[in-house]
Amino acid sequence: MTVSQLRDRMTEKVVPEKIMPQNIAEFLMDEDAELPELDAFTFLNRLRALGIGSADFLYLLSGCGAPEEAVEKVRRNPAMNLQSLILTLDGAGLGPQDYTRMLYTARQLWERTVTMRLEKAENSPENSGDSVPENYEDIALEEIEDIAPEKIEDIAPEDIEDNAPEEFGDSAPEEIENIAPENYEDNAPEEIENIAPENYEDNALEEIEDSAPEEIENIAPEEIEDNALEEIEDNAPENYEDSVPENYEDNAPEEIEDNAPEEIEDNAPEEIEDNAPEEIEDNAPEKIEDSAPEESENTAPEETSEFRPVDMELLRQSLIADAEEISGGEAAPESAEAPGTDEDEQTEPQYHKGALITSVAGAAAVFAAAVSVSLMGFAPTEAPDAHFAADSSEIFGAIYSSYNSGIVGADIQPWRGGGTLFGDIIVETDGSLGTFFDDGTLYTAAADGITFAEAGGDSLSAAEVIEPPTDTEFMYVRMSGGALYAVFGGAECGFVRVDNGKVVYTARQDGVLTDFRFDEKTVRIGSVFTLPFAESFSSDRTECFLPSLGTGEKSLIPPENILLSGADGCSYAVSACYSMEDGEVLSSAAALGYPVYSSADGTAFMEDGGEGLLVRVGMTENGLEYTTARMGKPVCAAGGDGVYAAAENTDEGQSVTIYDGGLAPAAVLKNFDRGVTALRFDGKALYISGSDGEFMAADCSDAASPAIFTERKSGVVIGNDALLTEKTADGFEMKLCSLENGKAAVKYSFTKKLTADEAATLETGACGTVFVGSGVYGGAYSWFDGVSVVSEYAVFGGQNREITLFDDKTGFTAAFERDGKLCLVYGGGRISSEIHI
Amino acid sequence: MDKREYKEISALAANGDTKAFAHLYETIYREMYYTAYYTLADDADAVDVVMRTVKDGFSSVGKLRTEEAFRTFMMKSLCSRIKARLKEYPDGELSSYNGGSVIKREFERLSDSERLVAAMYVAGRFIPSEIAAYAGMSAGAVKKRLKSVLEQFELD
Repeated sequence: MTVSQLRDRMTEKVVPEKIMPQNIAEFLMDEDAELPELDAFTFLNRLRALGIGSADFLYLLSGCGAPEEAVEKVRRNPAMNLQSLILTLDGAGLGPQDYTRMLYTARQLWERTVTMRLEKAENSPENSGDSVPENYEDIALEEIEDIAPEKIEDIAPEDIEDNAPEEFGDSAPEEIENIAPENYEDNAPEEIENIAPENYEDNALEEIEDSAPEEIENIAPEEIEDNALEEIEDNAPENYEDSVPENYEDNAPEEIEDNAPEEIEDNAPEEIEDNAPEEIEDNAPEKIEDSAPEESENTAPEETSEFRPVDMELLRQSLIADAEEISGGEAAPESAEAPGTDEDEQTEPQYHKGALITSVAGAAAVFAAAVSVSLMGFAPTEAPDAHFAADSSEIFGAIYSSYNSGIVGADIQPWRGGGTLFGDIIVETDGSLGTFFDDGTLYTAAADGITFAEAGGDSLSAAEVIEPPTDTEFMYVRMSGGALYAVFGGAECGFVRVDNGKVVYTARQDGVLTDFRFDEKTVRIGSVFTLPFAESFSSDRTECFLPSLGTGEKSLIPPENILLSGADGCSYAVSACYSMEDGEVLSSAAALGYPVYSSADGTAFMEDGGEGLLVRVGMTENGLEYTTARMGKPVCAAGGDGVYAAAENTDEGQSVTIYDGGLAPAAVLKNFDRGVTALRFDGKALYISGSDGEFMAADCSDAASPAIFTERKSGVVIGNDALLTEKTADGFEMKLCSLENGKAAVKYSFTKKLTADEAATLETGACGTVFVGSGVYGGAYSWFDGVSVVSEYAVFGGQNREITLFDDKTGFTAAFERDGKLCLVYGGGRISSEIHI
Repeated sequence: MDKREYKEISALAANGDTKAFAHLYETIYREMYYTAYYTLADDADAVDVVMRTVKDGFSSVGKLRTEEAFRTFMMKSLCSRIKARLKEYPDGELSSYNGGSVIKREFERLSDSERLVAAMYVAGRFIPSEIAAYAGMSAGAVKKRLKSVLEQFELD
């Protein structure tokens, strides 16, 4: 059966009616359905989606009974940021019911707008060119204001739940339409009294009496001005030009502004009277129709003063002038070709005159890097201001702002294992994590678990497995001081210490593993943690937005250890240092922004708009300090032992910049013959990967003059030796190499001859079967001889022999040294120990 | 659905328009149901987790700026609910599939996580990277489980 056939059979199952889309709508309207919980964040977000402006917002606040101080605070600070707004609302004691009531009224405003759009759509287009009555927006708002305050107070949340959104369209707009124009026509309380009963239905007569005339009187001039301006802001330029008289913006606000409240009271009715409802319906909706909320959000108020088509030529000349200014009068000419041409060498001397230090056949070349000019080809901007957070609220504010701008997290470059630079060769292992023997226990590490078994006799005891934490996998395992340390990554990252088959502790850190370092007594972990946004924003829960780490239970990184990098984003570059002894967190820090990579020593590479940002947070003698520097936008990055690298896309193609310990560009690798997708450091060796794996290594012992290597071979590196395996046409060869003058020199070799058919089935053993002792070396391999699967272990160096098994169920699975003998594990757990070392 | 259309519909949904939300839900309900059904092996439970996920989505649609974000949210939420539901089951006890003997036989021998991956891959038509993102697994773990599933199913 194919996947496709199975898929067809699986999807024959009929989706139950209950969850069909047409029924889901009803389900959501059902009273059992939980309505979205409204907190300040959700409320403000929804207001924003409804296109509610500041004046209406103030009105909603007042109508809801928010404390006057809060309303005044908002009124006096029109530029208040969202965080402050949330704090103000929460601080004013407003709760979900208040938000629900306000949102209900806001929806009425919105519905009114939608109704007008529909009315407009029904009307003939010939009237569309007519001018809009100057007081149109006043009418619309006042109409709603006229009825809304009482409604806000009167509406219980249950009422709102009962009102399905569709109902709004049926009831509210008509209600508003029917009331407003007539009410305002004469503006006399007694007339309103006469009209009210049939129009207001549920509203008490006295409420209307109380509200309508005074409302007009009470409207502060600035409110009217706000409304008028908002209307202007909401208009797209072309609509504005088409529909509004040229002197509209000059006259209307001032007229209103100049009018004392009494004048408004006196004048407005006549104006309204002059503008018959039909005229309003015919003309005004065009404005609204064309002014989507997002347009209004994006239009700065000052733009309303003048609209004109963009003169592209003028703009182009302006940009050229700017470029000249930036580059000190040496900007590229208008017809500048791509960087790398002779012309560019003249315009960017620092970069292109960089001497060619090393040239590598077929791949890349190394250039000196100019500090002052980035690979982007123009002078980078200043790094944004950064500072350590004062408290979690400040961090929350930064996250909130970025989230609302849709800037959450970059594509992270996770840590991946790979080859090892051995002299001038990149030695690629098979990806298994290795076999370790200690004090009678044999550990076999794999991504999904570390198997350990007692290996004291001639067979392994029943194996037990140590699994990585949920939704993670082991990525690197090493033995140090008799204990096993296994680094894991996935949904979170960290490492476990295993002693005598038992987990001593598990150190866990939020984020995707990007780097780790071991030294004698500590383990450092670098990760990038992008907030999952599992909870709604609330100023009461600002700690939810901090990264955490620790041994056993994780705890939050103190806000004062978190750098606000200045780059927008909701993602943290996290780094921490743990004691190997007990897993204690010795230090931790994070930088908030848009990181793609975080090194274990606290150096992060971030995106920042179209540029990049290097950020380092680390403990110094003076406490926690930071450094930032501009760079090109990083595609991927890596940090090593006092040397760093980042790949960037440039006009010339991809390049990799090597940064020294001071984060200054030291060299640039260019002219790659394939795309660079990942970087990794091991010590000072940089590994460069493409879609087909690591294809290049650079020894960055001298960051300004990295040596590049591209030769790759399969094998295992153990200390200063490497056992390399190479398949040939008639078998394969194992070579034991040692380092001599920085190059791999062959010391011993073993050749296995096979027929062509046999060679086609040859498989070399996992790295756990490789043995490199003092003068004794060995490795496993297997092939099919036409009758049986032959598993063989070859020992060479001080002694030469081959141990052969036929149709063994597992073949050789591990090799280790015990009591001066080479022991081989085969047959699913049997141990052979006949080879003296 | 283009970006503008999504933005308009999601804005309506965020403001309580259930029909607009249903329009968004229509783009993914089959994948959601099949993922739930073939992982949980219980029709009632599958319907229940889908409906709960729908409520999650309805509450959060205002924060989901793109259709992709909406899909990701819905599938992540669904997978979390499926995993939670699986933990409520007694070990190894699955209800019977109504999907025919072949499918029943194939799925019964899989582990919970393998069933989730298989359901998403085969019936939900998700690619491994999507499965990894939705199910909260590493890409390696998904590939490993997928390989195991395909071997066990003896699929071509």
